[in-house]
Amino acid sequence: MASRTKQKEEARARRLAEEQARQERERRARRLQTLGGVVIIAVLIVGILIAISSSGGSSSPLVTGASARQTADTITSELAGIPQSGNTLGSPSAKVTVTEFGDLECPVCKSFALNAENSLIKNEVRTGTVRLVYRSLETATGNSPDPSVFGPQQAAGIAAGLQNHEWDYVLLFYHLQGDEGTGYVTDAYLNGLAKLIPGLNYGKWLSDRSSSALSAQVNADEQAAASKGYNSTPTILVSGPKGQAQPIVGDTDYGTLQSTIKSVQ
Amino acid sequence: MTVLAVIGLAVASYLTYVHYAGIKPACTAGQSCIKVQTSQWSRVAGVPVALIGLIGYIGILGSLLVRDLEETRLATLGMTLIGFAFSAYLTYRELFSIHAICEWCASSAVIMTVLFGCAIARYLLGPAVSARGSALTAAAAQADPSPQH
Repeated sequence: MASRTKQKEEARARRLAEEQARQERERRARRLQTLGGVVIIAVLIVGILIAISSSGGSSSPLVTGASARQTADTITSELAGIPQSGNTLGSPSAKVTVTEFGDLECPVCKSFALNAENSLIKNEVRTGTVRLVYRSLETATGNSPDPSVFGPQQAAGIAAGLQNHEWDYVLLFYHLQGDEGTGYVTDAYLNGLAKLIPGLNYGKWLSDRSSSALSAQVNADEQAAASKGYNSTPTILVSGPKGQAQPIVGDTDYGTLQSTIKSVQ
Repeated sequence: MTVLAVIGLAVASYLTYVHYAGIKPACTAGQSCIKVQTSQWSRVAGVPVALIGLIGYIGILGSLLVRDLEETRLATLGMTLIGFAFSAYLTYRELFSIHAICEWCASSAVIMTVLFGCAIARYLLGPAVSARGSALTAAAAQADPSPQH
């Protein structure tokens, strides 16, 4: 009797163990199926996040749209017919050279470019009396969230100069500046500027702008400025047959520029 | 897991604060952190990634603090999976697009990876948890109806 009881208990224990194992297998299978569904949903969500992240970062509102295009067209018209070579705008035989040490993020440089410099380009540069030279000096960018962008942003202008469009790039940057200190200068912004310039081979520009030679040029400009004690932008040097005038520091009016040019002619 | 989620929440909170306060994050690697934090990949549709991370960690922490159920474990797993995958993408961008590492972002990525590993183990290998809120064994859940003798 006891033996039969024991046998029944053993059978019961076996059935319970088998049932437990079956339930465990079913639970594991159910969990794996649910996990598969969760993975699919997660991949979809992450895919959407990546797509939005990538597309949103590929353009900058400052350099896209009709307004930016119109500004680019205006600059192209203003520079049409004026020879450009590297960082120089104007006739190579011009007797007076006006050199601007500038920071593309500098709002004072923007003011100079849109006013006195604009008048200079329309008049003395176009007539062949003056040639303009652009060189780099970090000021405003040093106060931005990422000062290390100074090298790449200035190099972007020099890269355009390799295709004789540096002054298109410089003036376009000044016209389309964002708010100082907001970190608006991103790859999307720099690339967007280049795309606005007619006649600029974008692929070549993109390849050229990461060249170490251009970074070296930016550094050389900075060292040249430092050796002369220049630390503000714009710093404007006017030189001609009679020598070099005293540097003009900061924004200046067209009249003062004209007087300075006359003093070295 | 709860401790890790709290640490991750603290990191995301700091980065969110830094973003909206307009200050530079503390960084031992020079300008690397700010370079990453101001890159084009620091936002999704205009929303800072730090804020998205903050919301994610709040969700994960919430799922860990509520009653332990199959459903809440699944929710934890889903959220950590999304966090892990997106963190992996952002880390890729740091290394190959921005060429800079933000140590705060890297910390969050490590935390999220560990959370994901724990969540998947917890879901797949953990005991069954019913809606009654107690862990049940098969022996307790299934009584043998056969007679004793």
